Amino acid sequence: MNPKLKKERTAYKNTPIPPELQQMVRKELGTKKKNYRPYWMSAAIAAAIIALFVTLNTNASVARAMGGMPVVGHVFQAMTFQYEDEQYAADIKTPKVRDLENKDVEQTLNEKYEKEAKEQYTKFEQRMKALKGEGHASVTSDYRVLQDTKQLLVIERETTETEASSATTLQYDVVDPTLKQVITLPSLFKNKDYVQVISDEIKQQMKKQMADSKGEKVYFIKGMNSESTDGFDQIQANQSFYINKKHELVISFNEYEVAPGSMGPVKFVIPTKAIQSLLVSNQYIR
Amino acid sequence: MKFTRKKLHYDDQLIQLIERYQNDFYRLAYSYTKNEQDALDVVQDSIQKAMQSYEKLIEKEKLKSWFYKIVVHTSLDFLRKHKRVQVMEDEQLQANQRNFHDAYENVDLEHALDDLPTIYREVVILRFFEDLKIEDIAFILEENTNTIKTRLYKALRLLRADLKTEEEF
Repeated sequence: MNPKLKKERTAYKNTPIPPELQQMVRKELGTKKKNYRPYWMSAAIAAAIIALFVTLNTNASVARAMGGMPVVGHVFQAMTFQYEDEQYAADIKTPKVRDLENKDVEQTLNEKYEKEAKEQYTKFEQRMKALKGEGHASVTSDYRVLQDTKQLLVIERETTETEASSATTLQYDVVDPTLKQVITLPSLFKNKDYVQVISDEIKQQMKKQMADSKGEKVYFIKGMNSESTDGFDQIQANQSFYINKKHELVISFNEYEVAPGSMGPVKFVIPTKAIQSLLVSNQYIR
Repeated sequence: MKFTRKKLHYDDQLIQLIERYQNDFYRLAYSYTKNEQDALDVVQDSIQKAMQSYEKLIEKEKLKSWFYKIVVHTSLDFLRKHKRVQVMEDEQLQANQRNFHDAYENVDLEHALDDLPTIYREVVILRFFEDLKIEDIAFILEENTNTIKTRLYKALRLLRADLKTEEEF
């Protein structure tokens, strides 16, 4: 970008954001959200926030009422950590799985969810303390059930931490409800060759997207030119992944991991034919 | 019950979008109103409008552009309604700027973009500062893509921004 425009852009991006903005936005969105809840529930939530600031439910029946969602399938909302004042906000929703055939898997997952939610909240409290009443900070964490079939349960958890800028991370758990194991990326493949094959596929997709979008989309690829000494090179052996409803493998990267923040977290669908020869079976991926 | 849940889910998308991009929406509103309180009012109005008409939006993938569109419309409406107030604000702004003149390194540059007529300023902001695609800008401003390209070209010429590096909008 030419220097004049760049300067203008910097000036624009530095438009001061009044602290009232976040308050106002939260108020506007909050009011609307409540309309969809039965009135007694919003009252209950409000009361809980005022009385305790932190609401923690590990009891399933209470959790159901708080979540306002009927319990269908294997996942329900278990814990909610909430905190809100004029500068700081936390809203951490935690899933809980149930009725899995293997109780060990169920317990491992649930313990992980609970532990990580508590860690997120502790981290938030520490950030709050460190800011000493200055500035703004928030953390929101939520989950989505991407698949809940007889064969596959896929839970996506999204966490966004905001201070001056925001960072979003995505995590997945892929479970076969009938099996004893959480499905890991290596367990889908015969050998370690998948790391290279999938990495090459992703690099190709990145380059194609960049070319097709005429620079709209940007990825950091290692060795793309003399300047790019870091950036994406290979996926990790246990890279974040899930299996979509079309039975395709999807590889996910957190915000900033392989692309500028403006791209957000990014995902790549890996065509099954690219990895077919490496798959242990076509049970999950077809 | 099913219907309510669906609505709730879609609403979540809208809520997440607004929470995530609130600063961008505010900055855009401010680029029109040039006043903190007015920009806040515009964003507030825009959120309410979006909440009301969200269900009518069919192409949910255009959500972000759609919200920008609402912000632009609301800002322009605001300027139309408050033309006289705007003039006073400008005077006040200049008076303030005189005092802070020393603190502004790039006062000329800031003026250059600010001096452009709205139709040129907004395309530069949307394309180069908000990083939107030409098609999205066309959608937001309800013009065809050629009009947007022409305006961008002219805007860059007015700014005397070097065109060589901007051949590809």
